[in-house]
Amino acid sequence: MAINNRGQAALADSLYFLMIVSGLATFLFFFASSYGIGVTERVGLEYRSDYAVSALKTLLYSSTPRISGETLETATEVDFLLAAMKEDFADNGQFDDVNRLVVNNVVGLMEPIADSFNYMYYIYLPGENKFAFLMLYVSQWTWTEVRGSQVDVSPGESVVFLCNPKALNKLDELVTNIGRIYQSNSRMQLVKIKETGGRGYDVFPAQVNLTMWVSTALPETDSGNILDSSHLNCNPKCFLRLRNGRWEEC
Amino acid sequence: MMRTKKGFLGPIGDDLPSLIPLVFALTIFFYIFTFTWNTFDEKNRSFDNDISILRVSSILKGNSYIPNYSTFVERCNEANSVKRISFKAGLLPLYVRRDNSFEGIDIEELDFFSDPETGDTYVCSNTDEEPVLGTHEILVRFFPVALERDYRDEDGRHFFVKPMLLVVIAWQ
Repeated sequence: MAINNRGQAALADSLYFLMIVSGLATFLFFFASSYGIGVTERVGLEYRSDYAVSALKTLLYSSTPRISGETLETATEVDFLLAAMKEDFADNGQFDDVNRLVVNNVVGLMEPIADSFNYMYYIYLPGENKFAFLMLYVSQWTWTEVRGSQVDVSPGESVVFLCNPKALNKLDELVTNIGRIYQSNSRMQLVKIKETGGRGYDVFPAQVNLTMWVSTALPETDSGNILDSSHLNCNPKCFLRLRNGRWEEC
Repeated sequence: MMRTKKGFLGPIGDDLPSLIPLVFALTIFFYIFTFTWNTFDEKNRSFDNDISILRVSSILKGNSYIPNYSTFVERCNEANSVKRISFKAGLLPLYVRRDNSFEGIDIEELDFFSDPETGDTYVCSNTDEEPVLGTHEILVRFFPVALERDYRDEDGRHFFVKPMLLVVIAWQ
């Protein structure tokens, strides 16, 4: 009997060995497959955040012609964009004349990534708990029905809205529902000439922010469209529209 | 005597069935080991390239403000210390008027910005080669930067700050 079992122990040992090696190989395979995913994500995150920081800095450094319609190269007089904004705000405590200028500058800076990213740029006055300026660039997605579900298939035209949310927390409804965001912040001071006529001005500390995210359909809220007056309070008529690669007035 | 040799195939033959899973296990192990080794090697090389292009971009970008051409050249000389990758970088104009728009980045037809006043071309490279699509593994990074430019008129020297796009193309 013992003679008939000769070799069976060696066979069992080799099967154990095979089992252990298979386990080890499986572990190695999954480890190798997932190796570096975190680093790759981190590098991508760093790059996009860097883009947002560079864009905001460039915007704050940029010059603009004093006379509308001129180019920087041929302008009779140039000034910093920031100076033009402050000057406009000083008159009545809001931005009126420079809106188009700011939108054009922001859109120009973000154009290289605008195919795949949406973004917003705002100036918030913490002391007043109100927004002095907010522009939102979004891709409008076309929807199609696949097996009974609505699926967003492709971004259609892109539009710029000017919005004026009633409070800072209204932005949470947007930023918590659009995936990962990449943002840059800066501080500035705005002043407003006192209305009483005499000399002097009121100072408004302001927070400037540029936030971008991978292009996605805007989230719906329980009470309707996020662009509505109870949420982001955007002007229903868009400010600019990008159609077939060309910008148009809305 | 016959009884004791029943089923005995010799010292190797007796263990032959156990050698099959043994060899199979070793084959699996070395195959996966080689795969893992290659994956590590490839990903580490990719990380090194990512880090190198970020270093080049970071040096050239500085604080996102380029005050003049000589500063750009200084940064370019510093960026040339990154030897791991070949790179070509330069500035492309960004437009803030809607009658012009950014034309995209065509790696093989890059026409970097040249100052019409001075003729200085804002281009920086650590090689005479050009990147070839399909042959080289190419990485592209781009960032907005502010470029200060001078102009003179009868009232003297003036300057303005123009938004530009710093494009860095790296390959091995």
